[in-house]
Amino acid sequence: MIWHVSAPVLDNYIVGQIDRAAAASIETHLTACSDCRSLVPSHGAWLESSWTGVADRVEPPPIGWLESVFVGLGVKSHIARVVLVTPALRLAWLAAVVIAVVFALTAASSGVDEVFGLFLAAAPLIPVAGVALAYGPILDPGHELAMASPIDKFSLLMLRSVAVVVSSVVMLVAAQLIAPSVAGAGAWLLPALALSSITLALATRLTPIVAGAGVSAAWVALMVLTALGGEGPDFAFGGTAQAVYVVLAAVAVAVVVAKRSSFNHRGGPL
Amino acid sequence: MNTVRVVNVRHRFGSTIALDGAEFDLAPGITGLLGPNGAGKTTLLRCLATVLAPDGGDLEVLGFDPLLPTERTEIRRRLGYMPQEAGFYKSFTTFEFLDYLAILKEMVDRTARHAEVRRVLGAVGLTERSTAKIRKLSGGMKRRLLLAQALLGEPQLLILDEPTAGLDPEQRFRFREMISQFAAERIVLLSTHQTEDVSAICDTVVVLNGGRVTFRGTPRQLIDIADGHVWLADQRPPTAHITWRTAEGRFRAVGDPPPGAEMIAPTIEDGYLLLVGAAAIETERVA
Repeated sequence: MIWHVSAPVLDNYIVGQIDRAAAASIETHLTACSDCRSLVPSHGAWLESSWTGVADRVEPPPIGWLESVFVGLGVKSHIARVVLVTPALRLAWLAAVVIAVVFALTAASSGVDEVFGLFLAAAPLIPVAGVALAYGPILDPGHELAMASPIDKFSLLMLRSVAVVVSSVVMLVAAQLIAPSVAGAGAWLLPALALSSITLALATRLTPIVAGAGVSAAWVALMVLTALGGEGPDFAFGGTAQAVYVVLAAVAVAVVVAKRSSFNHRGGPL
Repeated sequence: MNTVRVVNVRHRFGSTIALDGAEFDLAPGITGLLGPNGAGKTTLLRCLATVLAPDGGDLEVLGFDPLLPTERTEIRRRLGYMPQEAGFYKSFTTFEFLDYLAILKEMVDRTARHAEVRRVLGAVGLTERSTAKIRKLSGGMKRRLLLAQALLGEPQLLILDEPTAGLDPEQRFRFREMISQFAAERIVLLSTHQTEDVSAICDTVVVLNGGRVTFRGTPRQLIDIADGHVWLADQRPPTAHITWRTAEGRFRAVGDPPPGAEMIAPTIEDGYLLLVGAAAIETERVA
């Protein structure tokens, strides 16, 4: 018995509003039925739109889990892609994850104060490294192309920096859940914010790598001198010190905002 | 304003002077930038592409001043830039790479952006490679991918630093065809060592030497510089700037001809050679 696709069903098929099983059934029928096939438009525009639909499923890059999380949190998809996509950023995050977890586990397993102190001293450097790696010609192979694009480089750097700092905090929380004996390790947070902000402020004049290296060297020197001087953790992580970090972070952020246009031009006076 | 003005532009890297008062104007059409290695071509293109601020002088690009932040962004919105050497995210596919750069060019709408990516992939003949990882592309394909990203958004100003380097002859012909179609009402500035490219597609030639513009004119005018300075001889002429043996066993010479020399029609390469001097050519050859 010969059957034909009904007009309403065929109309829905043509505009793509039909489920996959029914579409497959219709397409099988169309290969054998010239009468029904003649009712399906074959003009260029229809073919073009169909092909575009197919290509749009095959060619675009897949959305990774982290990008999905960002989009789920309300970040626009194109912004999430720009923030997350560069290898330098992935490298920074990987370094942050590894360092945070290694220190947390080491501290938890040994329970020795010195290890905990080392963790506290090193933790602020993780977001600094992330900020230093997130933007710049050394680790971003596409930096020259990014420079010539109209996207606001300050926004790009800030977005990536915020992403690095936030992810570092998440890593610390995860580490504390794994190793409860590291309670109190949150004292590194304000130093980290201050050091990251100072790195950004220096990056208005220097490359981010050089800025990050300089800030890290200064922090390590402070920690070493503190230890050699016999000072306890309160000297660098106590209430007074935390207040100093807040002030430093505020000043650094003010400098960054005032000098934001410098991120849009390399090697120039701006 | 659809013009580019370069006025007394200067730039140095440490003690090395890259640009020493370069000066010229550009109008819609294709302009070829010639010059020996170290002449300042790439530095000049990077200044025009707003990735490097010159130490001195004035630039006006499409009516905007690249030293002013807001105007710089306006230039970038109208700019396509293909650097001489650019890094790739090698784990990306060609589509992914272009999609990322399209986002940097403020193409927010996903559907329109993907359509534009497909268009430029087609324009450079990489449609079949849209899902290929960049690390698996040949050198010529990577050059075409760089060219594709410069074409995103149909920019009003296209700056290409050695776009035909690494392309095979067929790809170069396709490049010429595509660029000549593209440049109908746009400004294209390309640097090259291929004088054939210049004579084939450029309306204007600018020769840069030692950071200064030593010639600006049509390809015909550059050829005319060598008129009466190219000849054939049976023996290697000692006074010529440069000489080579032809397939017929004679010597083609460029320079000041001896009396009674058998003169032949010059090429654009001859004009360029006479302009920059044999020493510069020798430097380039060694480099």
